Amino acid sequence: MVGFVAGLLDATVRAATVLMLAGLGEVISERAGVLNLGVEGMMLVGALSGFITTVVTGSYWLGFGVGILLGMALALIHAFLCISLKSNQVISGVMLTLLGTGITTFLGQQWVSESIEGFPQIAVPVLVDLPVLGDALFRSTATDYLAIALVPVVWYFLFRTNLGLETISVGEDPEMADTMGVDVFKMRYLAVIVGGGFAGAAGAHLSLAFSQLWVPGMTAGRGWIAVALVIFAQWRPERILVGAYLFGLLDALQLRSQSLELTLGAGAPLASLLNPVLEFVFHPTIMATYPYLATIAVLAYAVIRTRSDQLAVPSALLEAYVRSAVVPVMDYGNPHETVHRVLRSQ
Amino acid sequence: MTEEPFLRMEDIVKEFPGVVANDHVDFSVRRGEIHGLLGENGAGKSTLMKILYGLYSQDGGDIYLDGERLELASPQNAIDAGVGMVHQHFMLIPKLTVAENIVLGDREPAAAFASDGGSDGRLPDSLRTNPVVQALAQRFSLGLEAPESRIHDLAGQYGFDVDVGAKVWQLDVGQQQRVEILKALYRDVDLIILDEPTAVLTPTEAEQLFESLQQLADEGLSIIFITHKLQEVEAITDRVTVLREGKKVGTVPTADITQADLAEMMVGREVLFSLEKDPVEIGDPVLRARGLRAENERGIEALSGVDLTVREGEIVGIAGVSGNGQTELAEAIAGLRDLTAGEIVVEGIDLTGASPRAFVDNDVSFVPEDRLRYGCAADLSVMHNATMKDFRNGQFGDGQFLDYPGLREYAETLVEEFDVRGVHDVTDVEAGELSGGNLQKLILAREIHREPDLLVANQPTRGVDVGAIEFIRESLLAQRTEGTGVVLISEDLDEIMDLSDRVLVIYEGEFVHETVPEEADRGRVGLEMTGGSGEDGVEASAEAAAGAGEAR
Amino acid sequence: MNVELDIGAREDVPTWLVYGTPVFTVLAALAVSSVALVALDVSPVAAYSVMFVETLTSEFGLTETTVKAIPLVLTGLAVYLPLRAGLWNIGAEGQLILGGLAGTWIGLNVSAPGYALLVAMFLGAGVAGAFWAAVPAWLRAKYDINEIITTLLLTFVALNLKNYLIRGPMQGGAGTFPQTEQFSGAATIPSLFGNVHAGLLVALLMVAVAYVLVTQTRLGFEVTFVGSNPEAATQAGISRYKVYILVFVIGGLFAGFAGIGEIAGVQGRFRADFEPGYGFTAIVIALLGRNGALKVLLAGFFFALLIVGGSSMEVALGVPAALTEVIQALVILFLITAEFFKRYSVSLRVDRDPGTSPATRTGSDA
Repeated sequence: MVGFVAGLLDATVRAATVLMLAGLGEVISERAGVLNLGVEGMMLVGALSGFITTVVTGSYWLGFGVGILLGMALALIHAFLCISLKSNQVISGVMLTLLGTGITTFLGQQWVSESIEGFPQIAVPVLVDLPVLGDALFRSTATDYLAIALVPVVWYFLFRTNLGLETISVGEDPEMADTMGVDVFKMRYLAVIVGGGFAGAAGAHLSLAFSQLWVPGMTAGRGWIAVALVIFAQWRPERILVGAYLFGLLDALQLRSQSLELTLGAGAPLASLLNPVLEFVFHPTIMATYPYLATIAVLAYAVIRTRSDQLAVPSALLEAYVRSAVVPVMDYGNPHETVHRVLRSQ
Repeated sequence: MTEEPFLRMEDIVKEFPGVVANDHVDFSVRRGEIHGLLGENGAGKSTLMKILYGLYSQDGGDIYLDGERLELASPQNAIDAGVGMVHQHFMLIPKLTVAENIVLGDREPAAAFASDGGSDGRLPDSLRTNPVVQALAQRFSLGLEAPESRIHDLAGQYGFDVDVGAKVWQLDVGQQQRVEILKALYRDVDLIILDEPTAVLTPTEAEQLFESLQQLADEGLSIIFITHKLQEVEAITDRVTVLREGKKVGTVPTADITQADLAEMMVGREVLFSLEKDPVEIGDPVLRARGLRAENERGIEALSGVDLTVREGEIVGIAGVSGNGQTELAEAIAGLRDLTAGEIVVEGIDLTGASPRAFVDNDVSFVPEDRLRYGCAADLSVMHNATMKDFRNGQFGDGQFLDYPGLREYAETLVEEFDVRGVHDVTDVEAGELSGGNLQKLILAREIHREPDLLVANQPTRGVDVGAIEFIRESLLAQRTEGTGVVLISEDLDEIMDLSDRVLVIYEGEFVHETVPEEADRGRVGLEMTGGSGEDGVEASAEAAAGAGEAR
Repeated sequence: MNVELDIGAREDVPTWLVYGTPVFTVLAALAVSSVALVALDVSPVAAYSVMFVETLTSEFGLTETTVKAIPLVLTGLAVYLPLRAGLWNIGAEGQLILGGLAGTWIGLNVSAPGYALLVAMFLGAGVAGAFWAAVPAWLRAKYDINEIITTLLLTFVALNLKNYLIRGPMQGGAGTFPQTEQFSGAATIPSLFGNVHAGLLVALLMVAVAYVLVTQTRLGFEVTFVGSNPEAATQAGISRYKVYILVFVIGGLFAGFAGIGEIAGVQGRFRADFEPGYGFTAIVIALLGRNGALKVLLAGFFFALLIVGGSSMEVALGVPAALTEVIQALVILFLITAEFFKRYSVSLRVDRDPGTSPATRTGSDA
């Protein structure tokens, strides 16, 4: 049993890192008012570019860096479309996922059979010998440690620095931030690009540390889970940590639930009635739906139970900003939205 | 108080397409003075102040502050020059704390990196003053302790009761307003513009605000107080400037003028349109509303127990300055706003709490004040907009299918009958492409042509050209002749007097005066609109404002 | 010197821009993609001629394109209708899967005479798709919960539900392959001509339904109004609640039809790896065809051509079919870029007066 739990925790930690990195990046981007549905595509681009770099140069750190850079490059397109061209954030994000998936599948085919020596596991002396948790938490790759370390960093950035304050302000009320001298466009660009870097890192971690190989479409929807995770975490970095482990645990359980005897013994009362229910509830693929259902539940609960001005969702999320006026997001049925004159025309 | 003006705005001109918002206006404010800026909506108050705050740039004229000529390209310039503004809609982020809202944009580094060294000696000066370290610290740290204590001191100095660490959403409206004022004070302004600051406040909160303002003025700050409530002018200001139709009427010391004189300066007397009003037999009540109470968007009671009866063939004019509950009243009797109390009966049918659809089906027509937001779908065709309510009508086909050629023909009839110009093809021209006057004619056509029992028209002639105004007024009179009960809400007193059979004055969500045009005393009506106490004194409304006055 | 970019909303969109945009975006996407082709040492001219000319001139290419277009048009409509009411249905894929599952279950477990079984399968699929769409619609109409997020997330729930059912309760046929049993003849959609199955008729019929619904009925009038100005619609007594629920329910119905049409018309059985992605391509199709159901039909066929042409290109020239995904993405990219220039007129002004440069931020002024 101890072995089972230790293995489960280990798998949880591995699965959580990807979600944590991508989720933290998405928090930064959304806090600035820009939804990024291109995470999946950025992760794939990060994964492939990191992998290729590592194969060619032999340096997984260099690969990791390139993965981050290309994630940022893709995010730059998103930023340009959503911030400068005021395009619909949803459409742009879906497009980038499509683009990322397409490009990596297209270019990545010849790299499928390559092998690399990726991030090795590093054991923290002494702590690694802790029972149950030791192996899971303290025998991990550098990227696993990095992801955990980034949680307080992002928290500190958002809530304890001037740039963080400005990031939040442009996501809440860009017009007000502008009158206070905050450069709305710059802050939003920065947040989206940094967010893309995190997504690229998540992808590079996937190919360089998690599986140490490249398979087209290897993110397998983790980018979408990261988007859900941000809502689940109500846009708070520290809750991303908790949420990532929770979703990671569900992921880890899926592979192991069959080996668990989660049904009642044949003689137990109500066994014949409850066992099919238990089997269904703990079925791996059914468990895979829980992160999404939990996210919808959290979203619904928050919207129904919270006063609208206290909702955790950044108030200006999905809104493009036109100097001196916030216009609603490009609404394809409605090209006539009011755009106030640029006030500074002189 | 020195006699040399602290702020001088000279010969300010600002034109918008078709309107001269400020027509050679001179305006000056002394140091330590509370200066009232009085005028009806559209008189040019806001434009003048937006120029002073760098939001608009003037087409002509100069601004001097403390003798220096100002070039204001943005609010940032204005703040740097020492001019702050508190808007009606607070510019605050509810999720952030008071201190965070105030220091946003200042890039205050953490205490250890503070450029003035000061209390914290943990870092050597050489490191702290290093430009690179400073630049990094300004970005990647945030010092709230020093600003918080400064805000705290400022708040204490002026008797503001504000918790600097609280999130803004936790504060009530009065406190949020004080945060706005603190935001200006924190940036060391010498002059604060307050745009109708009491509009969002309860009487008690208004009282507290007045006390604080008096204290600020005593400390040497100059305050410009935009309002259209005479009681407030009397209670708080030292001098008052009145604007009307973009021109300055005059500046007078408040002590030297009566409310009646102010009301006359503000409302003025203009040449009236002469309208033929046929005598009409007034019939049975169409609308009977009792004890209506409703809240505005901020959850504050805007309608405090209003009774309104309208009979067939009668135009009931509701006079008042905007923001006194007219919008809420109009929406309530058109079925669009939820009531917190009261009942609405139309043609004997109780429609209290009914859906907007029920009101439409029971022949209630509505001309909303915000044409583009509620009156039409700007990017749909004239045909769609002309038939927005009548498409359900049996004449346009049975069952689920719509007779589009029929709709088109109907729209063409309306366009022709109501002389809506600029429509060459009702299916091709979009409502948003029409001019204000023509769009209003289209909306009125739609609402009138369905032969309503009750027509609610809120500001039907605002922002409309002269020709259309006349047409719209005549249409309303024609409705009266047809036996429709009409509720006409307008800020234009002449319009009310010309068209109405009965006039009600609304002030702070209540009717405070009732008269008929033939017997109306314009001065009295003007006073009642602005909360002034007439000869008889209108207790309910004057109370709060009078209390505020005494509190000084 | 101060350079200022002036962005103003356009009052009128020039006609050439309206009609030129789709053509321009497609050409630009193809032009950019040709870089990838050159990198693979493939002549773009040869590649595109395989992709378009050969596909459009061969019987095989035409029938394949038509078959592919059936689910694309139907899911396109599933996104199009809510879009008319101002809502985004990002989850047509999930509604398609659910519809396919329900229809498959009926096809395998119900026996009915003649075409009745097929009718029942389509009805079941439609109801399942409608139900899957009704949940986010209700959350939006009743509580104002963003439908973009909920439709998206429910898609992933649907995909996992499919894996569960096809690998579990619905698994059948020879061996232990993750798939259902093969459909009987009665449960298979008959062929119309060549390889084109009769689902085409359903798709065309639904285009007609959507067209009539939007342009001829009272509901369509209400949908258009709510989509254009929900507040004015409320004022006119139109129920937003009803409109929101109905556009999603009908949209989900269309997506459900797409699912069962593909399973019973092409696949013959439900395989666990059935995850066609039509629901996502549908977003683009609805975007291109948002002005009318007939344009959705055209856009659906265009994307079918792109997909079929892409796989012919793979066969003939060894170009990875993923290139079509890239082209799709680029079409969207250029489409939303063009959208900006359609909505705003941009003018650049260079001001040589240094005095009007924006206020510079002062450093710490504590």
